[in-house]
Amino acid sequence: MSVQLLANVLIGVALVGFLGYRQTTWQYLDPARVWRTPMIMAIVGVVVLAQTSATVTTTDVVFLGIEALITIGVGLTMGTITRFRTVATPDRKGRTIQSRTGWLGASLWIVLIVVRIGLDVLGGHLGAHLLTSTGTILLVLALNRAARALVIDQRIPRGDRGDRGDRGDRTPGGRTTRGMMVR
Amino acid sequence: MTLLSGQDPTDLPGGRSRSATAWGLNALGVAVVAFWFVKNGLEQQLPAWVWVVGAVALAAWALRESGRTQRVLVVAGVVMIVAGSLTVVATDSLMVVPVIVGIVLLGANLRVPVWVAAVAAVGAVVVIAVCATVEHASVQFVLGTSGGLLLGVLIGFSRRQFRIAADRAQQAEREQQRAQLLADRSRASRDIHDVLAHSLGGLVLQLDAVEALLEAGRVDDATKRAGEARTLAADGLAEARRAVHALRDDAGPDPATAPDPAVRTSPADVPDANRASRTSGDHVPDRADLTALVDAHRSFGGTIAVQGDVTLAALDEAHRAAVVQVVREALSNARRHAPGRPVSLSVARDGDAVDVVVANPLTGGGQGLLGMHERFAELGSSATVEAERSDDEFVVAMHLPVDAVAAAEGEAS
Repeated sequence: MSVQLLANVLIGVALVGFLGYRQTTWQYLDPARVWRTPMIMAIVGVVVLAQTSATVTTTDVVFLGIEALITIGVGLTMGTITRFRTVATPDRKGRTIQSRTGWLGASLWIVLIVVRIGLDVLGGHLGAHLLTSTGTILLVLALNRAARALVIDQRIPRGDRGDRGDRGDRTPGGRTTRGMMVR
Repeated sequence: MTLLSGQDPTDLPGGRSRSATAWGLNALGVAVVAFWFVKNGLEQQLPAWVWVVGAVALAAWALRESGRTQRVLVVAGVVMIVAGSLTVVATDSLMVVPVIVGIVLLGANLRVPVWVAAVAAVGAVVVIAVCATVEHASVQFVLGTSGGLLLGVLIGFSRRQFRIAADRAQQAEREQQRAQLLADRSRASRDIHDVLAHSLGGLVLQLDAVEALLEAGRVDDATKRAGEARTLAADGLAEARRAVHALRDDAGPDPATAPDPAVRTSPADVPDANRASRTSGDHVPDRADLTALVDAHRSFGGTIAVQGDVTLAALDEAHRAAVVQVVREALSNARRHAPGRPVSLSVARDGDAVDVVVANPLTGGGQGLLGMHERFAELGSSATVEAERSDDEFVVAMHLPVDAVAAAEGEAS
């Protein structure tokens, strides 16, 4: 168990470290694609999870549910503390909006890792083996990014002057940037 | 859906506004779940805490039925989810019903963020799973109820989208009505400007003449002028009344959609009522032609050279009315800015079009010119009006399509 756990944790740390670095630097943001990362992570996570033959117990469900709640909460917070700025020169893909969450966002990632490891150890002792699979890690991350995307989707500055539009369907140029019709 | 009533049946807290069917189905649901809760509970000898918590969940569901304010509804939904999920395992998944209803309630509520229902569902799954672990229920049971909760989240989201769409449709309708109102106001202000500028401007000229005649001691001429001034004032008053009436009756002329002259006269016998107040009834606004304007211009002491058919027989009602308004404005401008100078008015038939040109020396533009263009744009036909300085004259030239009926009659004769 310890070898598998170590590998999973390393994968998680590598991914989270990369994402944490991105939190503190200004990153170009494509409003139409905020949902792409969580979608890909969720699909890969489900596929990986389907290949693991661990038996599901009610304890697994308990810990998965708790972890899901925490990761959604962190994701919503990250979406809320995200700052936006509009740069004058678009990048190669024509994006002008940049976003950043700063050190608070990076520390939220660390909180997520600590919670993840803590629940792994606790759940492993209580027999929740599903919790430690790679697919679960990806699903948890996908949930986190999805919660962030949900908030960002509604907060993203629409329009060319960086003002906060309330509706996504009024983007200049007629391009509909809103991923989903939610509010 | 009743528009502009300020109330959307799909977005109301609950109770009275919701359809009777929805209310009845919910009431039936509460009754059925309560019945089985009591029946199974008596058979299974449920512990006291399950009775209490289950009753709280059912009470919250009943409260939701009669709840009026948003806060009551949200609280009822949360209580249904918490209390219901605590008793799901003990009641063999019977109490998953209030949990699902509560999730739908939160999901469909537009004042609650969209993620709340999903988070509540995950929380409910955790509570159910904890209860299942304690009571050694199967994992299939937990997964099955989770599927039910997922269904609740999806239903709530779908209802939410429906309400958003209904909200937007209502808002769009409101904006359209507002735009219509503004257009109507602009037309009314233009009509009032045209009528008042014409009759009051003419009145000033007439009264100036009366004053001059009186100073010269020519009392008889002054009396005649005063009579003409009175006629003009009565005409102006009648037209102002008509404009105000058209505003009030909300059946104002809209030539683009209703070129039928009946629409113009439909604000009911106003012209007839007004005609009584006239001393000279030769100029009826709704069957207007240029004769009356030419006569009026001459009576104000102006010189006007007329060429062509001033009755405008070749035009339909809407175009004729527009021409009359523009010529009135042009003559009014000519009197104001170039008093005493000769004005020429020509009406020329050019194939299937009519050209109307008013020319006078040296005038300036004003509010009326804008109104001229708007009036012609509103016709929605190929009719155009040009008002500009040409050499040392000011020329107002109109180009209009011939009315199909009149054209046929013209060819027949």
